[in-house]
Amino acid sequence: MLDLLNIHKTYDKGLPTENQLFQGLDLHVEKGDFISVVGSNGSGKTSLLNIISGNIPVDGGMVCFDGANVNAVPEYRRASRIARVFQDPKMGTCASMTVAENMALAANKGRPYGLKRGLRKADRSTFREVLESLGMGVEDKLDVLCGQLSGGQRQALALLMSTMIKPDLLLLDEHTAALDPRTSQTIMDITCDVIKEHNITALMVTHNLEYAIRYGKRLVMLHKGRILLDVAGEQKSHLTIPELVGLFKDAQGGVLTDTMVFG
Amino acid sequence: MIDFILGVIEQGLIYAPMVLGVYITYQILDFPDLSVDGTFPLGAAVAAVLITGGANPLLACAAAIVCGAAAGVVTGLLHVRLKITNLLSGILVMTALYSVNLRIMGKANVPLLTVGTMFSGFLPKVVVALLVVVIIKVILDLYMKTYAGLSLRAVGANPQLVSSLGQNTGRVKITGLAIANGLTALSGALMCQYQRFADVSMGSGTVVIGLASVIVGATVFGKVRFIQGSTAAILGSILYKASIAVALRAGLPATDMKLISAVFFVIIIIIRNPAWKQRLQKLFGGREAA
Repeated sequence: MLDLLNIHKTYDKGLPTENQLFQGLDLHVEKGDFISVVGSNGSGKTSLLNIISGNIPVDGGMVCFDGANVNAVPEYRRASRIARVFQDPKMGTCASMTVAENMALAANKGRPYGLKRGLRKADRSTFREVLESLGMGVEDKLDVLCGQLSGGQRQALALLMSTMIKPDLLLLDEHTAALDPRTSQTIMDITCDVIKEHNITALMVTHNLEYAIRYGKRLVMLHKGRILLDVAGEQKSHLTIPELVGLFKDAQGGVLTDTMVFG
Repeated sequence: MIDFILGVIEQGLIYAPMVLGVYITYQILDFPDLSVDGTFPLGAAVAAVLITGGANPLLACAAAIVCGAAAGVVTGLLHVRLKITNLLSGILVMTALYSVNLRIMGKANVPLLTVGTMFSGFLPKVVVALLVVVIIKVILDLYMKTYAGLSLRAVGANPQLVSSLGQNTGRVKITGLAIANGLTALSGALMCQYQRFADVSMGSGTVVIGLASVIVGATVFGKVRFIQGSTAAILGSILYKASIAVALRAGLPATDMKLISAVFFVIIIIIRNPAWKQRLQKLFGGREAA
């Protein structure tokens, strides 16, 4: 469903800080894929998601959705098919609006926002039900400003909001990295439920190698803009953390810093 | 004394639509919009010329709103399409509007001494101004509850979210600027009818008055429950006008008004700054202890 063909991207072109990140990256994503993407800092994981979502333009190559080139399609137009959850829980919700207001916007994602009343009484019970399924205690906070929720609650809400209108592709950008281990696990569980329930194709960038191995059907390791490893199925299920760490090590020329693994 | 208080309330209310506009740009959109310095006299110019030409004052106000909104759209387009910084976009439009306003009026000053205005009817001025402000506030509050209004509120706080929701953030910003400048022009149109003349320089300092009023409102009334942001802004407008009026009444010449406005603004910022607040508290606390 998604094809990245011969992607080129250079940051700060012509400046001393020039960084040629992607020099001909190819990635093919099947419908129903759940891919975990790992890689050290600066390997291009987040840039990859930004290129797919349309947040940053490519210098060369094509981003194709179901065979159609979407290079010229701006982010907000791709958004009807692509949902994204960020590392920072603050990014997925609006702090100065209530939980219910945030959900009202998400429930109408991609449609023109006109002069219709945003939050109707009937919506509230639906919202409450969906929130209850999270099991995070947000269902009693419909009229609380999102800024007052905990990081975990905000991230759960952000995840829920991103999938209220079923997307074709879900981009998860280290979406559990800013949370404590327990909350992180809860969010991962919710993520898996959502992906399974709606049969969404997903790309999950993570620094957590354990998650990368445990979750997802396919694992892609990026290094300096190149794909080092791309395994699926049987092969992936046999991967171990030490093996992955070893691969990291080789890629770095034998030097391993802890930021690459758990940073 | 009653005349003094009434005058303060009247002027506070007349400035209130503009303050609501600045509330939208500054507080909600996070866009310091300086074009209001140009759209305030634009509204006055349009209304004055139409009213002296025999138009209905209410229609003249509507025309002023449309012209102000158009100017807001220009500011927005400069920023969104041409990627000019928000401050500079506002300054450019404000500067251009000076000439535009002179063209509309044909001269620097248009008197409205002999024609009927919204304030020359049988209703007291304060009632007319209050009616206008209440209508504007109700419409604005309703708008803020629509999808369009919700996305306006979201775009200032989290533009990424708004594009993630499939909305064109640029368009949302331009809409906000149009509404804000339309409201500012309405204030200008009301002001020229109130003071019975439109003057090309009557807009200078509008943004300072607007910002100060928004901040005063948010500081004094923002934490009171059941008072919405828009109400706080309107009350802030009246309170700010009152403080300026008191300073003038204390003996300062009227020509010092802009200076007083700026100084008051700085004082408010200092009071709001938590670091300064602590220092002030320490200063006074220390004295008490001694």
